[in-house]
Amino acid sequence: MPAYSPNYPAPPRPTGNGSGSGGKGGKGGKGGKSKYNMPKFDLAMLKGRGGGRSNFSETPNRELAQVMVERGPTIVVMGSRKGGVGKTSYAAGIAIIAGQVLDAVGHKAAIVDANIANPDAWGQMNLREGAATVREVVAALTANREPPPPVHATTPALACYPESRETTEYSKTDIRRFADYLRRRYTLIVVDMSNRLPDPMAGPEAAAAAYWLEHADVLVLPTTSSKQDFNGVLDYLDVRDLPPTVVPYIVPTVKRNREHPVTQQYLDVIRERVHRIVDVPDEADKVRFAGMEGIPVEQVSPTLRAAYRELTETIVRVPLRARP
Amino acid sequence: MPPLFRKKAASAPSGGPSADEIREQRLEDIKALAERFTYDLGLLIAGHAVELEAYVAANPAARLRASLEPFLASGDAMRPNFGEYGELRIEGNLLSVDTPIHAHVEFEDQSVRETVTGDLVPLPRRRMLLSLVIDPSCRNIRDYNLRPIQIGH
Repeated sequence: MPAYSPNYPAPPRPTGNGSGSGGKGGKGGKGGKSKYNMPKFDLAMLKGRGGGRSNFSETPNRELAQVMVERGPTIVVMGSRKGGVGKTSYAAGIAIIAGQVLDAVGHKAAIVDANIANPDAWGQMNLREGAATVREVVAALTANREPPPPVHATTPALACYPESRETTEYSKTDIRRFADYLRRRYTLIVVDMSNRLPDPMAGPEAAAAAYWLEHADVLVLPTTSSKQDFNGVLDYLDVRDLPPTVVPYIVPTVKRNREHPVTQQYLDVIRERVHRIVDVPDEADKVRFAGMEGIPVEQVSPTLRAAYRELTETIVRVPLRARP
Repeated sequence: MPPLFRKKAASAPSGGPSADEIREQRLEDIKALAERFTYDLGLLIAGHAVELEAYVAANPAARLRASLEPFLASGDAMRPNFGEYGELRIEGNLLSVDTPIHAHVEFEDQSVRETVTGDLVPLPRRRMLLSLVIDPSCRNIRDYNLRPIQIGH
């Protein structure tokens, strides 16, 4: 990318009276050369430029950890009607940041792969083979045995529960028991669900999503700027009794797409129905590359890390809904 | 420009502001306009929305936006820094209500490029010359030109 180079077409040359420089305000109307104070730019304000960045300023780790601890165990479910919106990457990013933040105060976070049709938290978290799976933990809880210890990733404060590839379905009681178990142990639990609209009657994946939603404190519905993804979010928002919802939105790099009226209309409609939309820079290629290289997703770039951080802070500040 | 003021500027009736007072006022207006434009230029290269059309003629405003769009569309932006001081040179008859006035702001561009990934890339400092063609009312910019110049220009 070439350096910024204002290459503006030259306007017509000035056609003034040809008077040269004179003293300031000199007689006859000639102007003069004078020292001129250049405008100052507030760098903090300029962080909020267009293109998807925001005026977000990070809360210090310890303060954020305190917010999370005082709030109590929080289950965050990641949902989507279709794949390809970055759901698992967000889940990993939020969980890693939460783990790092909570580590400072002796608390822990957990990430759970509830994507039973296509378990994929493995790739994002670089977990070792043979880690205890959700299936094994649920089986132990059902048998009233001590569940196997989870594997940890990135930080000892982040427990990971990958899914077994042999899992076919869970009952409502399985999920309730597991959710209760997680709440007793972790301050923030991120659950990566399948790409299905939650529906107890629409197959094992949709049913698991519906059961998890009953225990969720916050729903995260990622979207890109495509019509299909926007419609997927709106379809999801039609589901009854959803918890407060946060939408991470991958902001198009190209201004024309970013400011397209249809994009804005969708965002306006969604904004009215959710707690908040959080802008995320479009760095999908880098995230994919990081996945292949085994780089933790929050280390892909400073801007992406900042977006995940903002998303995490937004989530842990969402007002909790009343529970029966 | 209030019509009353224009009339006074043209005729300078007794009891009204003197020619020197009018000239001083217009100098202030031109400085304010130049400052507004340089400030908005900084915001634009930083990727911010600016109401340029409020005081810049439609064609040059569109030209400025169009020239920046490819750069900003890449996701990069500038952290503007035009230095502490510049030099302002004004040419034209400040008492005329018919002929445009030319203002030239020379400054040192010390802006830093911020890439889409958040990396800051310092660029070589360079001397820039911003030339403005200002409406005789001293309220609007008819045209502009911005270009790097050689040191000692």
